[in-house]
Amino acid sequence: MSRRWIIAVLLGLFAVQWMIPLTLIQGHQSVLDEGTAYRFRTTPVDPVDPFRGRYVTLGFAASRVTVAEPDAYERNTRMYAPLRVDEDGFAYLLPPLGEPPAEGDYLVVRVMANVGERALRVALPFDRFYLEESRAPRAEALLRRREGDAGPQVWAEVRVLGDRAVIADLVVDGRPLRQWLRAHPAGD
Amino acid sequence: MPGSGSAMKKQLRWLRDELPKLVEEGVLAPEQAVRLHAHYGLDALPAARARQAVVPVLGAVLAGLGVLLLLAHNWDGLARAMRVALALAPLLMGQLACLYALTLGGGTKAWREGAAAFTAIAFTAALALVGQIFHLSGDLDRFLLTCGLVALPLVYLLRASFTAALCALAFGGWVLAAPEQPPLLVTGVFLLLAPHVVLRVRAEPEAMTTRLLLSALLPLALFAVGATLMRATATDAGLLWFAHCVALLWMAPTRSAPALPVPLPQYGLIGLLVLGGAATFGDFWQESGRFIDWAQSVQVGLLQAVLLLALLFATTLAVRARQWWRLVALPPVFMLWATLAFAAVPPAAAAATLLANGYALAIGVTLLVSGLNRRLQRRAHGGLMLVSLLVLLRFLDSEWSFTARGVAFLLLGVAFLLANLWLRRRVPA
Repeated sequence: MSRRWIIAVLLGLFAVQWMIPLTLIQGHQSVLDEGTAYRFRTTPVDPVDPFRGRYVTLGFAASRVTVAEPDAYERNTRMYAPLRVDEDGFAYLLPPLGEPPAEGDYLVVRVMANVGERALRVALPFDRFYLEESRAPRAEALLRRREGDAGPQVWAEVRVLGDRAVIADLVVDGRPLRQWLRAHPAGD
Repeated sequence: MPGSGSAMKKQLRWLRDELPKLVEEGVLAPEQAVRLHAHYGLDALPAARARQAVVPVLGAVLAGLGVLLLLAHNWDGLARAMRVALALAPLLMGQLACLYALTLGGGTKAWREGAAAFTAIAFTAALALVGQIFHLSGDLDRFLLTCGLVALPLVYLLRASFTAALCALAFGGWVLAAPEQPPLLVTGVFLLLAPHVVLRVRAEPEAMTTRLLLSALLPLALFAVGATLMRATATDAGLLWFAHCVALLWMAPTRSAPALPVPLPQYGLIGLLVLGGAATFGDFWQESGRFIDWAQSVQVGLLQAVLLLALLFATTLAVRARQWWRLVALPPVFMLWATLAFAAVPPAAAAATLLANGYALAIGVTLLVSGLNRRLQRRAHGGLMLVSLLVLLRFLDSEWSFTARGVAFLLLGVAFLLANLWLRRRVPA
């Protein structure tokens, strides 16, 4: 292959290298800008991603879905769960469907396991919230210590648009987590 | 080495640096280059060129990893647009370095390797930061596969072996994160690196980057495919795959020209010791579901058949070369085949355990006796260590009390030391 061809192919590769992150950015930013906001009750724990840094893993109450026949669902199947909001303003899921519902927002979920006679556990398309290195373990410690107490109410604000769902922020007692952490220094 | 003095060394270094280019351009056949290498004793020269190539690559990789770590810190005080710009800036720098490496006189190996490695890592960093900004879910497997596949063209366009090793690492990570991948798909993905490996082994068999590439690629590819086989079917299909691979590595020809740049038989020996050690335990042969339903998976059958054919070919080569010691890897493979082809019944499993122990003991004793007779300390030590290892494994396997095992270990240690002392006095190193 001549040098000219090599450089031409290389430029094509560079275009792909830019296209992949830019497409991701554009897709997710449009969800944040135009998507409908939902609140998901959550409990955070703190692990590390080797490439992307520290985050809090979010365990969502909405991942437990009430269904009539849990055995009718096959594990690891990709399904579409319609979204509804309860009287407290928090999101919950209706039994997953094989096709996207004709009306209303929904989440693309994966069936994980049966958890009881009339309940199913599903994996939501979002499960982590990245934080600055020092803040994630502190957030987890502060929030976990209050488990079982009246403690703060924690929820994730999620924007949903079509097949995509993006976490916009993690909210503690009505304040974004970063603000809440500033108001609660270590050991407080 | 003919001649002496710094002028001669300079000329020889020049010749050593020129040989790979001459082979690459088709002026010299690889065999001729190897003969010139040997004739002028070029291996004895200081590895200045290797250092020249390695230092910039190392610098580029460290800088790339530094960027990755800085971004992983998550500077959430910065605006989103600023973080995106910071993430994409290294990618642009890497791409410019790649263009420079191919055009403006920067076409040296160091530039090509360094620029390609930095660009590959910068792309990984950019993708990771996008995931961080938008709090994207796990999917580490897809992330690593994407990074490996996007870096792959750099390997070929810039002839970058270090980046090929990075790709192999990414593919290995992909399988580790999601071992439920189809075995043939994993084999195919690793084979994408094969043409580059063949070209490098032919053009620069002695280059450090070639050694590094093979050292990373071979174990990663073998384990990755083995892991998917274990997951895809019964555990034993993976076990058979490992046994085949280990035997093949042990039987790899070492006297071919050009010589293989990594010690494949040593890899095979390590694998044989691990697999052989496991095979001396009764549980190894008594696991339930040993029987492989070959009809269950065409992929498994196909992969095992290819390896079996390769093993037969290696056996033919070893027999022709009268390298009988290479055949010691075959009986364990046949035993595995025998127990996997038919549903294992308890007496067969017990017999297999006994056979495996007897076989390992026979090899150990043969090595020890042969080492003593021929006054080869290394061989004698190898035999002694093998026998000791076998005894140690049986202690672990037995249901003796801790006290009894402690005493036995103590006695074994003393016996080993005494035997070693005896060997040192009678057998030259």
